[in-house]
Parts: sequence; C-alpha cells; structure tokens
Amino acid sequence: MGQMTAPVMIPIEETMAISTAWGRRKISLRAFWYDRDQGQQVDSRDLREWLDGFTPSNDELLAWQMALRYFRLRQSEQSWKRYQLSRALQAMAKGKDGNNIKIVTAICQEIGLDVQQTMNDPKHISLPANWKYPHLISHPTTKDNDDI
Amino acid sequence: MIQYPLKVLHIENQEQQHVSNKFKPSQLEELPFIFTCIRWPEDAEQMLRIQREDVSAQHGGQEYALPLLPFDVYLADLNLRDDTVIPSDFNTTQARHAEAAGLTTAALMACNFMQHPACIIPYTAYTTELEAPQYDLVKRLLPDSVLVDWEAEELISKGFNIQTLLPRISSQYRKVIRMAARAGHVSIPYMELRRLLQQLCSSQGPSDGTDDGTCHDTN
Repeated sequence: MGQMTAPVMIPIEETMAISTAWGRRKISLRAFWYDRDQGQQVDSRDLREWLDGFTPSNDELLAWQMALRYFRLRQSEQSWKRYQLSRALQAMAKGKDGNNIKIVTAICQEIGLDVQQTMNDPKHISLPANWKYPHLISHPTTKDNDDI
Repeated sequence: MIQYPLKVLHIENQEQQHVSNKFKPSQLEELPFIFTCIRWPEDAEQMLRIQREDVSAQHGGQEYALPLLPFDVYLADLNLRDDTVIPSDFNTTQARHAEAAGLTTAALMACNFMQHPACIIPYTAYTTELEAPQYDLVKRLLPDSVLVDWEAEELISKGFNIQTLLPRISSQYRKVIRMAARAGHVSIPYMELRRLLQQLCSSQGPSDGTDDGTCHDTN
C-alpha cells in the first residue's frame, strides 16, 4: 500500500452492524481493514468508496418510498383541509362553537358534504373519493379510510 | 482485546504452522480475528455434527449469537497430506488423503451455510499443487456466494508466510460482504452506513465527484 491521501484512525471499539439471516450482528471495523504495516490507519478515500458501495436493501427502499408518499400526502391542500375540519368538529363537540361553525360550513361546502349531517354525526359521514386517502400501511383486506 | 472479531478457521495439518502457534497470545488478542485451528477434514466433520443443529435453530433470529460455525473466513492449506505414519488402529478416514483436501474441506463447510458470507484463502508452499485437478474442479464449481482468493497464488511465488496472509483476510472479507449484500444475503442498514461515514469522515464533503477526499484523523 502506498502513501495515504487522508489517513483516518479506526477506533478499537468501532463496529459495523450487519443484518444477516441469523440476526443482527456487529463486526469490528478493524477486521475489515487490518494491515499490520499501516497500524490502524485507513485511507479515508478507500473507506468511503467501500461504504458507498453498499446499496440499500429492498425493504429499506420500500420504506423510503412509503415515507415519501405519506410526506407528500401530508403536505397536500386536501390533507390540510381535512385536518382543519376534524379540529373544528372536535372543538364543537367540546362546546366551543365560536368560529368553528363557519369553518365547518365552508369546508363542507368545498368538499361537497351535507353541513348539518356532518355537524350532527361526524363519525358516520363518508368523504367523496377524491378526498379520501389510503391507510398508512396498505393491505388488500383493509378499506380506504372513510372517516374524517 | 478486540470485540466482535471475524471468525477464521485455519485448516492446516502441521500443528506448528497453526496461526495460534505463530503468534504470542498477547499478539493474537490484538488481532481483529479469532482463530479456530483444525488439522483434518474429520475435525471439520465433528464440528458440523455438533453445531449444525444449533446454527439451524438460530436461523431467523433477532441477534446473531454464533461464536463458531459458520466461519467468515477459511484459511486453508491446499493439501493436507503428510508423511506421518498413522497407526493401523487409529480412527481415521481417507478424506485427508484427497487431493486439495484443505481447500475442499473449506469449500464444503462454507456450502453448508449458503446465506452466510464466507471467503476462502487457500495457500500452499508448492506451486505444483495449484495444477491439481481437484483445485481446478473446486475453482470452477464453487457458488458465487463463496469467494475464493485465487490470487493467493501470487503470494506463494513470493514466498509463503502466514503473516502475509492476515491482511488478505480483511481485503477478501471486504469483498465478500459487499458481494453478499448485492446478492441480498446480508444488508447494512442505511443509518449505520451514514453513521460510519459521518463518524470517520466527519469533515468530508459529499461523494459526488467533487470530494477532495479530505478526511481527518478522528483521534
């Protein structure tokens, strides 16, 4: 091995966790980079290239996609309206009418819900298809969320 | 003593050549490897017989708790033949007399645990042994999940020394763990990779080609 461009010291206690078919395992990072001539120093470029060479597992990729999907749903205008409607209905249930009647009326009209029915029985109203959103973990046996 | 070392099986019929006899105990403790030394295929057979069930039972578990089998690395003397006169009543088999018995023992042991990344580092003091048909056969038929350091041939021509093989344990295992990750046998959690990159190369920029490789010593 020639001169290192940027040596980095691997601490004796440093490990790398690996998921295996026999469970989660830790391996000393020094075991991956043992070189008696170089002591415990590793060329940081080699280390980075090696670590960068590991690609995420399919499970991790799916988890990222799901997280991104729900992040986008959460940022949507419809999500914000649903949240405002739920909050206003919950406040009304506690006797805080105030401005909430106006909010519920406005949002119900925009969504296309019966205002009076929504106020009287909010748990049993059904959102129009374009205002529904799927459960966090979709499963063939579950139905899309009908509740507000 | 280093925690969480790699598990190395050293297959060598000459006991004085065992790694455990080449280093002082204090030196062995400083290595990030833990060695188990055996001499014959029969020793490997016994290990498999005793431990295979335990290994199977732990498949699918949460925490890896396998102190011996399956091994990560097999450091294998290519041939296990010697001139020792074996007493006629000695309980032995013909296995050790097979061609390339050390390499074959390592390969067959590794094939017992296909999802467990493993690499084999064969060595011999005799270049002529590399021409053995059995060596050629194993070389051709081993599955991709078992990596064999065929380049060890180069080391032999430079003069064999067990100490020169130790860095190869690291370099070969680095390769095999990446191969196993690509094949889906193991995975390194993304957050673990991020943690290591940040911890060891905290002052480095993104690796997008503009990276100047600056990484300062963390100690």
